[in-house]
Amino acid sequence: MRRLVYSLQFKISISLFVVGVALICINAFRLNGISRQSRLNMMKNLAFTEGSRLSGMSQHLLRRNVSRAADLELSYSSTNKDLRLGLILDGKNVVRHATMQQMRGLNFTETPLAGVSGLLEKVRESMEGKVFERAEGTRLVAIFPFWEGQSQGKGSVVLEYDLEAPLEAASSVALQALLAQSLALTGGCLALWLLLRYLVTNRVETLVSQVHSMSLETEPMSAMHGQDELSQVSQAVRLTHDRLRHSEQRLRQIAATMRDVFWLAPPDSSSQAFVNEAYGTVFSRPATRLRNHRWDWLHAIAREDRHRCLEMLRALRQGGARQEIEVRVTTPEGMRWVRCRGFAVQGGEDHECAVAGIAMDVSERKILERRLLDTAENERRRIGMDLHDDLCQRLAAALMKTGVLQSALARTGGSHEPLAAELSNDLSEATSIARGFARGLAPVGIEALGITAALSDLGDFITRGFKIPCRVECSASDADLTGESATHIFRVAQELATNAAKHANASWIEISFEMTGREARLLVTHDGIPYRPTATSGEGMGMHLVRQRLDALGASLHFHPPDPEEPFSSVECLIPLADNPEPHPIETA
Amino acid sequence: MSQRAPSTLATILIAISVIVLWASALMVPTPMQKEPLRVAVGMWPGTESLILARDAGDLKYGEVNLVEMNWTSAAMRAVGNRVVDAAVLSLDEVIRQIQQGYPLKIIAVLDISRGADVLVAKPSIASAADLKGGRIGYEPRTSGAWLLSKALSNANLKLTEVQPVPVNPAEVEEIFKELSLDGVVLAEPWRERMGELNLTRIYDSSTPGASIVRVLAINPDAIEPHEKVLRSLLQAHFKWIRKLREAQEIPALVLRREGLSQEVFQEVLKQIESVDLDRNQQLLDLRDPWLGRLFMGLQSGLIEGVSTATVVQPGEVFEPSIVEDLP
Repeated sequence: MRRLVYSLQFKISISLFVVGVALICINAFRLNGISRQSRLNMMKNLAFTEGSRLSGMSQHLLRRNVSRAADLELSYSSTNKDLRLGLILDGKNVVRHATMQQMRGLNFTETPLAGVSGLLEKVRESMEGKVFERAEGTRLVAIFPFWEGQSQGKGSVVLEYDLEAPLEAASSVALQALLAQSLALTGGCLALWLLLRYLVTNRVETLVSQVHSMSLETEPMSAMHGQDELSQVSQAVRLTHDRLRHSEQRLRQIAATMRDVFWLAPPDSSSQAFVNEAYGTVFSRPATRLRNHRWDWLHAIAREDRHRCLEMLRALRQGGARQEIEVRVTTPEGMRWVRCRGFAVQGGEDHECAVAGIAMDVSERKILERRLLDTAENERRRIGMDLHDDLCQRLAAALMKTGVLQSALARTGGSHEPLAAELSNDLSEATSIARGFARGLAPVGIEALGITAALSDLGDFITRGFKIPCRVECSASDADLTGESATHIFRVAQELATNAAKHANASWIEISFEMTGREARLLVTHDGIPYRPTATSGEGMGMHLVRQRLDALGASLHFHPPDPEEPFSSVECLIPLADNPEPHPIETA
Repeated sequence: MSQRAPSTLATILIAISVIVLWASALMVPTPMQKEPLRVAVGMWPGTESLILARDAGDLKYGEVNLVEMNWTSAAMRAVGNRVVDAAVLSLDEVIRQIQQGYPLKIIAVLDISRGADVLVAKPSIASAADLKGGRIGYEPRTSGAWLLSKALSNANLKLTEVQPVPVNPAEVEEIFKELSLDGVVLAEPWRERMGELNLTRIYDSSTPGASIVRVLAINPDAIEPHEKVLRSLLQAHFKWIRKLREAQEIPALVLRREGLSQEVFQEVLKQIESVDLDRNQQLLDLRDPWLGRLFMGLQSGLIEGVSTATVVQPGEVFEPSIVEDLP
């Protein structure tokens, strides 16, 4: 019933009915007025005609003393159903003839028409016949004078007509017209209902079925024949369906040949997600399982990365900007790195977005990056060691010799003793600088003394090198970290602390490193200008290398701007410990 | 398929409804003003009952329109041409109308004239035989013509042996002398009104076989739409004719209409035999064959050489249903 009420068929039919009823009512109202006025005019004309005729006739007949003929004339007049009473009066107001003959001989004032005596006198004075409406809408009185007999008396014909019945009949005409038109209108609306049902409703239902069946797996329904609008829409739907199928087929062919996983997740959970054939290769899981287990792919993602995946999907569902994350996929062959690039596909209003994306296997690149990092680290360490073992030793030797030279010049009283002293100072400073570089390139103690000592040394270096107090708090156990991990963590801390010292205009820096059972937490806090992360592509080389190291650690980086509770900016790095990814041994160059 | 069946049935029902509605719209009758029953009544003492009923309000305006026609021939023309629906006519007048092709029905017998219809002549004429060659006024094709023929045949005269002068009873009072009439056929109250002429009663309806029966004749197609009104009319007649006959004092409006004094009017009434409801029922359903025989006799007497094929049986003309329904 609800569906019926909201249908176009119902709305058009009921609209026509309502408009029709309004028009009929207006018409009936007008017709009633016109009909009554017309009948009134007709009655007046009749009264005028009859009064004129009878007065002329009476004058003629009474002058010839043929009074019985006047009776007959009145008799015929009384066949008019609306004539209530007809009187022919002589000059003395005595009824000479009447449609009701018992009134013959009575004075006019004794008759039921006595009430129009005044009008009678006026008419007699003017000798002009007139028709009056007496008691509006109820009676019509016609008074027509005539010259009576040889004495030239003023006789009169007085006719009284009923108006109520004729006017009621006139109203009945309007009422009957209203009834007939209402019946015709109701019939017309029902006929329209039927026509709309066959011409519109049924065809729209067919069209809706056609649209609903627009599946890529099904053959398009045949379009409706004809040239009308609905047929044209149906034919257009059919054409669109064909095009979509062809387009989809091409897309699937492209997707099938891709090495990367292409996926599309519709917004409603009832629809199946689409993945191309590469899914099976990259995720090592059959795509067919997704039909029944929509989230099957999530089981392949490393537990630590699932949250990020879900966060990205949630953001994209809400129409967020394109996102890109790298996650680890567990396969029987080992751990894989997969770069997921997702984007939202806008749906209708108030609907979640579909999410699509590409997942690329970047394991090889990751291995290469780690190798590159290791190679760079080794090279850095080698340069540092060379600086320490060679240059610094030579500088130390030169410094000693310069000291000897200065002592010798002092004993001999030579004038070059100040120059030797200055040279000695320069060499001392150069030695300090070279040792600093060497320590930076090859941190002393990471492998030998552990991360705690290295970070402490870093704090000293920052304090000394940048003249900014740098405090280090470390509650970590070196036993839980591999040498590479400790190096990566140190380098990350080094980059973050140096950035704070160089660019944040901080007055103090604090490096905190702590470890729990499954996670290590590195926190660099300062009171300077907060770091505002930009797009990955816009970052400097230092942050780029930081991210590579974090990827190598499987770690995440979080920037915390200052807030009322914590009015300092900080950078937090969370490093998982249990599954610290080292899928492949890294060969050093 | 199970959804299709009700849908098809609904379509058929709607289509039928459309046809019915449109047909109804076409057949909505054109409203007509309600027509009253128009009854032509002449100047006859036996129908003063209807005038009294109207005056008393027993006959409502809008339901019954009494058209007062003094000329019987005018009333015959009026009822024949449907100017009026019914008329008070004599039985012979009804037969003449039927033979003229106006199929009237008799729904009530109002009275039987026992002397109220009369052939009168100048004082010098003593019998019908003396009228031979004389000028005799009568209203052609009415009961007056029939009474004249009865009077002449009673005196072994033929209509061709007198000079018939067509007159209307209503005008005789004024033009009797002017027309130099020797005799005239009149009905009451016209005869009494001419009392000053001292005319001689030659022949009247009290003569055995000369009774004139006045009936209420109506067009057949007016019976059904006015059935209820007809019952009211006849009920009013029976009520008021009884009151009129029993009245010690005749209402003034009746006397004014008739132009007679109270005593004269009461004398006239004595010449008219009323027919009550029971008698009406018996006469019209032919349990009492008197009226049927009179009807058949009048047909053969009025129209010479009439073939048996054109003879109308009383049962075809008498319509007892109205009086039978009266309480």
